[in-house]
Amino acid sequence: MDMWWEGLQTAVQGINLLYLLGGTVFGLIIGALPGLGPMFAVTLALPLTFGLPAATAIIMLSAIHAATAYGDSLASILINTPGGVGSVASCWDGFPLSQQGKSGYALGISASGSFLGGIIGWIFLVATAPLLISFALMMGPAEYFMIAILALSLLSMASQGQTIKGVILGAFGLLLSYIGRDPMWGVPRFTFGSMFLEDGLPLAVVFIGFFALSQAVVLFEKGGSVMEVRQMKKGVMSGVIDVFRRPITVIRGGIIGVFLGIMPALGISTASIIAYLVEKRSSRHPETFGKGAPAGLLAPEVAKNSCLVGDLIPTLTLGIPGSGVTAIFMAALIMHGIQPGPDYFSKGSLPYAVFVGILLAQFAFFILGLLFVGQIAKVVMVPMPILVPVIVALSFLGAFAMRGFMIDILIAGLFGLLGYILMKCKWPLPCFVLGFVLGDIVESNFHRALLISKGSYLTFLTRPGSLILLICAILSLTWPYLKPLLFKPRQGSILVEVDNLGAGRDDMDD
Amino acid sequence: MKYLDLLAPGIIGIIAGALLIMTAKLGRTASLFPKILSLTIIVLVVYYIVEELYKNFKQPATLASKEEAPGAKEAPMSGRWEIMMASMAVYLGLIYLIGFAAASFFYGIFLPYLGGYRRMKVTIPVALGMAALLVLIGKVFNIPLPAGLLITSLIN
Repeated sequence: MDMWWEGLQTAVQGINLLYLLGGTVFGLIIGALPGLGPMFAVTLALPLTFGLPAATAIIMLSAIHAATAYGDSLASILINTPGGVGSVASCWDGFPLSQQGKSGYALGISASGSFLGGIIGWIFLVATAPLLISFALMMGPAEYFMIAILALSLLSMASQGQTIKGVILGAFGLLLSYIGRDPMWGVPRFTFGSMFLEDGLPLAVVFIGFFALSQAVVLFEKGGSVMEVRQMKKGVMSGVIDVFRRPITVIRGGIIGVFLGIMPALGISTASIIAYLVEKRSSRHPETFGKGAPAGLLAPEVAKNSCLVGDLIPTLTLGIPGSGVTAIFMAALIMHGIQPGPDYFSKGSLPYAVFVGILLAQFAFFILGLLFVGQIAKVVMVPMPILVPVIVALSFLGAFAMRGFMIDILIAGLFGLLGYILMKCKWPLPCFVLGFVLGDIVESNFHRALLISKGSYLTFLTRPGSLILLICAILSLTWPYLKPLLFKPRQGSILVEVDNLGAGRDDMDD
Repeated sequence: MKYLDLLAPGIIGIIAGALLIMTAKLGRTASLFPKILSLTIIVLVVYYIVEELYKNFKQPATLASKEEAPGAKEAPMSGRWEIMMASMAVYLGLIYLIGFAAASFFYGIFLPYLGGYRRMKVTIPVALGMAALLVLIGKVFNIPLPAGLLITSLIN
């Protein structure tokens, strides 16, 4: 309990609250922009936090993470354009409400639904983290190696129909993560004799190129984008109050979100769509869904944010990120000296400050989101040619900020080009991120397991945990091919509907 | 099928091939994973390319119509991406010469212009604001922004 108290004291320091507010505003603005989601915002902000104390940096990133997810819904509700992949389901009843002149009411539902979803996710995170960590302590390097392989295989599976592309990108991410010194003996690899590469490719620089710069090119290509925003201030509070009259919808959406968040590879778009479909099935008036049903907006909003926080459960406890955005979040934790996994609670009160920061982030976006909803929504009116130079300049600044080398901007640019080409060909980019982040975990645990077993590869098969994980990994890789042979999907089932709606395909973009 | 469909795996395959050659100089432990991964990537890339070419060879008409269908997943390359990439290269060069803040100001004016946005009454204040914002971020987050070769030599 003392640690919690210390964590709370750290989190509520004036400077931390200031960065919490700054991160929330930044997240809300970025989230409101169509097409830019949590991945983009967290990536862009990551290198800027390099010079900050660990607690401040993580609190700021938590605020950005939470606020961007809520901000995503603004564009969905107001202009029927999902702000990010997780907000697709919010369009279905959010935009009809807007068309009926109830945009304020819809935004009220969205804000409080997202807030409650975040709180539910947080409760699960805090309650399950110590249990999962004690479980993680029982695992050895062989199990860690296999769990990382399982995470990689599940992510390739999530890019439905693109398994080969997913595996190629995951392997490519792993391969590039081996640039620099090897984790066992410190031998320099693929450095071309350059000191810039001895520590490897800087993670934030690569991600900025892959996600921010490539996205800037796409936005520049798209051009245009002056949107009409309807009157929205009226009815916000009635939307907020209405949410509290629907506790079952909130709890149902929250549990679906957390469960899918914990599952690697199933992200916020799957969670929000499944929550929407479950809510529709449970409703006494399913015919109202798609025509502005408040529950049809509330359920995906709750599920989206609870999934976002639930996603942090395997990240913090096992050190295995469940999605692209949590992979970047994990990188931020490592960068600031917090090692996710069994050692998570070994850093004194700092991990508890992170927990408190995640909770405060939910309150911050809820309060600021309600207070400044009118102003933030105007962001969708900014023309793309004005917005793109700002994104590029911030990306260049972020790339430079990490180490202060001009060459890092060039590296970001090259990855931007590669990311853009892959994006145009619809390759699942986040598979690369996962590979890149998990590279060290895979290699070091593999060699450690071999050292312990005196060079016997059988250690991966003789340890029950490792063997089970290996079977799961093989099943997940072969599942897309086995599924049609083993099961004939029943028409009308939720899973078939989710498949038809395309959930999961872009889940890792969350 | 478009050239980009083959370009992306081609680039990945070439990089993997180059790194595979470089593993010859490394010890067994250090080269194990890079070797396995490079080989896996090369095999999968070759498989993917052959599969795509075979599909295209078998059903060229179907594939072409699929690509041109309204709402088809793959967006066309508009040609603006080359401008964007070139502008980023120029921006990087300008940062090197005249520093981050000044280069960002010019970039903030010229990129919207190239993108077809000609309202200078909007772009100039936005560009100024952006340059000021970058300087402010540099100060707040302790990032020493590059001053630029020309500016530094002029000051000295």
